[in-house]
Amino acid sequence: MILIHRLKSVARWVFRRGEVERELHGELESFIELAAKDKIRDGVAPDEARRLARLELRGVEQTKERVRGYRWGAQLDVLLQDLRYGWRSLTRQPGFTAIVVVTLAVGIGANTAIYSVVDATLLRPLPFREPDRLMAVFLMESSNGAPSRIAWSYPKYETFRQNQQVFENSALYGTRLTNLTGDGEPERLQIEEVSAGYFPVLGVEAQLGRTFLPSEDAIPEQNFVTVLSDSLWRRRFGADPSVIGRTMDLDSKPYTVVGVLPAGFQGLGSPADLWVPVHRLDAETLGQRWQHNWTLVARLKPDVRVEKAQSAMTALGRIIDEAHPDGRAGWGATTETLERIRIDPTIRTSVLVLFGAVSFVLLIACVNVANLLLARGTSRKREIAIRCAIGAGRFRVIRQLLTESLMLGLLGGAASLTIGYASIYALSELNPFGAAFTFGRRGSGRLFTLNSIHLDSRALLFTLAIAIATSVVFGLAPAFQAARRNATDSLKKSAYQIRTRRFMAGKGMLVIVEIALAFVLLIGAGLMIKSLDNLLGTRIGIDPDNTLSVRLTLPFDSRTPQAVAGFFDEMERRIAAEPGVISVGLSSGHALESRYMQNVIRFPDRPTEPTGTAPTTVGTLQVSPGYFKTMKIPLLRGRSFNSADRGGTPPVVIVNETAARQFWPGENPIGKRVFVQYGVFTRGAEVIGVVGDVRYGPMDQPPKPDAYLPYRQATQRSMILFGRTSGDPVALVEAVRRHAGTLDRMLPIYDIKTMRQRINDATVSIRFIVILLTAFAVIAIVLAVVGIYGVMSFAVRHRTNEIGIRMALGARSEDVVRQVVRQASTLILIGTAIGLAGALAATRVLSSALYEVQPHDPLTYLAIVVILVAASLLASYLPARQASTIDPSVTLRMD
Amino acid sequence: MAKVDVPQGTLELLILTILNREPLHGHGISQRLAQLTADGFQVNPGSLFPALYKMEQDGKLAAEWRASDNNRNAKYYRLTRTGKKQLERERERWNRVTMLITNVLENA
Repeated sequence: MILIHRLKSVARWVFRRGEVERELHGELESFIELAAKDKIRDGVAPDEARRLARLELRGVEQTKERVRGYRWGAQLDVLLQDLRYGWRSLTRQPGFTAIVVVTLAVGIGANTAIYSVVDATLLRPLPFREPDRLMAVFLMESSNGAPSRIAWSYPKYETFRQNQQVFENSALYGTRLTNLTGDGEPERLQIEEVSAGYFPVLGVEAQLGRTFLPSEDAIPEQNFVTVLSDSLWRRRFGADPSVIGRTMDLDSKPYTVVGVLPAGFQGLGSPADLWVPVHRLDAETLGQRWQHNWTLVARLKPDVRVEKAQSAMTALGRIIDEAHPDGRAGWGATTETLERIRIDPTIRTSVLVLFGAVSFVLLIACVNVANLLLARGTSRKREIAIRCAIGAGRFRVIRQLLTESLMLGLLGGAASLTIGYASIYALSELNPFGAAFTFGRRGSGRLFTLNSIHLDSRALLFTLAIAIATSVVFGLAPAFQAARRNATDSLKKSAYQIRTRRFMAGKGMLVIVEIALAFVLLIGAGLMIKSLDNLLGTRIGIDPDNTLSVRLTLPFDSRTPQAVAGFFDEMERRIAAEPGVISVGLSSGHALESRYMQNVIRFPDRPTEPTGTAPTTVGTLQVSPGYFKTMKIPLLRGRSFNSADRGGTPPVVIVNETAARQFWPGENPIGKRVFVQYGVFTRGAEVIGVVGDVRYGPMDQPPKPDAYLPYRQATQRSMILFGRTSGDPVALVEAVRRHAGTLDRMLPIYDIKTMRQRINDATVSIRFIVILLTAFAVIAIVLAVVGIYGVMSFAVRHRTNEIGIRMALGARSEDVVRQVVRQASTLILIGTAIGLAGALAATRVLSSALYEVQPHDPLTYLAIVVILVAASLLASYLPARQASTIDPSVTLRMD
Repeated sequence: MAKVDVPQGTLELLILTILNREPLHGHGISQRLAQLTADGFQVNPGSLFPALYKMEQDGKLAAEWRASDNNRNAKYYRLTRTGKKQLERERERWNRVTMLITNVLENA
């Protein structure tokens, strides 16, 4: 009710102001008339009566102003007035305004960009129906001591489905690569093999056609249907709706397209191009209970809580262990909300660290702007004093100055959008966590890139909010300081008299804060740079220069293992004959691939592990004889593989140094027998050689025991061809393409990278953090130095008088320099000390992102102290020099 | 007896009470107040008018121009329904407050 009346009154004020004002005037006039009449009746002379009546009102105009003060509409006027006035004073000093706006734009823009990353990775809900009821269910395995989550085999999933009561629906999914052939270029596509419940569980429906039917999830080797992603549909089929019912060849088998999914849906694994039912596989593949290939996603029943589901899964783990005994106990099962595991913990930390760092940048920007405003406030002191003298209240002055700050903040916010937009574009182009997204930097846990990073309304709102918040932060202190001044004081005294006492308290504080914040950022950047340096200095075990690697994957067709080996043999032979090629090799995996095959290894002379303990495993790679030479992996003992190690000859293995040391400490491993649970090697093989360690896992993890098998004795359809060249290895790509094309027309070439590139990929997420943190630290130190310079030259300017007198009395210019620098050093040292304490506390959150650096690494701290102190001393030395050139005869005449 | 200022926050209550009897103009209100308190309360017209405007803006008072007793046009204020409700509420609150304060003063 009241609101409606108020709005009416505002409207009346805005549209019929003349009338409103006339009415008020008339009312007051009539009051005076009536009051005067009373007085005349009491015997006062008419003129005197009117004078007394006016007096009683304490001024007609003043009363009008007081009444206006209560009018809501009039408040609007004041705001407009403030805005107009503010705009004039901002445009009167375009240089000042530009500096403030740019400073704020940098601070706010960086925050907008990082916020978008935080929003996409941590805040925005997963893009599925009721995402908080979605759970990922894992099997547990503890062969390496620490229990780790592993995927499901189909038979175990069936046991799960028959025995669980907490989920209303569940589905399996697994990512595969497949060769698309038929019309057009053969293409390598990412597919997701899913059970029919997958789309209903997530609540995703086809935009065209349908998803999979339950009947397509029942009989093995029957269901050659597929659903396309929106992007594949647009790219490959030009968004043609008649694609439904068409067939396309995947790994040489015809699949019927039954549907197209909505734009933006990429699946839960790596971004997928299309989806196929699990039951396209044959019964034998599906029946392998030890092939843990699928991840399980399930939707909680509405009335079941997460904790209950977790305890239910612990119980279910035992049922699965009993149903599928393999001699080792303690597999178990566990479940976690999809929300919890959507991002790898190390990446979560990195994102939060960046968010913290970027807010420091904004704080420093605010401090700088506050500094500039304070300095300007001093020069505007007379203007404000005049306004006070002609009747502006303290509140009115503060409001005016805050309005100006708000205008600056909003201008800065608007300008920041360009910076924010550019950074977000750069970030999404960089796709920093692309590699890490799949396995995490430490190979732990899954991660979902389900929300894309972009500048949306949420980011805009965030920008607006921080623009307003920063205006208050940087504007409040200067506004109060300006309003606190006594009007008569300011009109009488010179700047010099007011300045002295407050210098340490006000502007000094700002310098201290700036240095402390910059210090923490610099330490963070320093530690990360050192980590990256350590990581880059890691011995990977191969020579990455001048080597090309290309993955070749034959379709799962009727080729015999001999034919498969024959194909790779021929490829290797042909590439070796190309000009400029020094050597060629094949391997099932490459260095730093993060994830590679692990198999159980046993030894004939040792008892098998008692039930309940984890069996020993060994990383397994199938390689050709040329692999070691091509990667320059040194042969330390025994012999390498040769062409005689083929199907039918006795199985042989080569182990790495770590395996030799761990499995046969103090012994010569050559000639020992081992059982590796893989193909013919399960029945035993002889160790014939020891080679140097190679890091196949994540870069920051030391090598584990590995065994190399000759690929002709353990054929694989997917191999990487490595070529070492004398010149640019990329020149070899064309030859690989040509030969692969003539050998198998349907074979796409993909994952073409030099080994140097793969090393870069492996460090992309840490480099991303290093680049951003360093950028923030550089901005911080630049802002801080500019701030210190500003404060010190301000101080010098306002002490011109004093310095002039001292110099007239015989002070030398060195004394003046020393005095100014000493004053600055106090601030710098206090700031550094506070920064040091802050950094010691703050860097602990970094420790998980650091590699072979302690969060309290003394060398980094020392270096940063030196850099920061040197830079800030320089910033204060320049104004000090200026001060020392003061000519006493000029300055003494100034005031 | 020396004049005292109207206690903080009670000016509205006084205006509402006075206007509840009959519509009055600004001068009339201040006269009436003086009359009722035997000149005991001091109400500055400089604060009376802002208060009247605020109450009118909030819809507690309505105003119209009409001729006064001695044939001059004046702005007459009267209570609206919102104003009447407000008066009841304020009055009740005032009674409670004075009762409680009296209790404290007498029994402490």
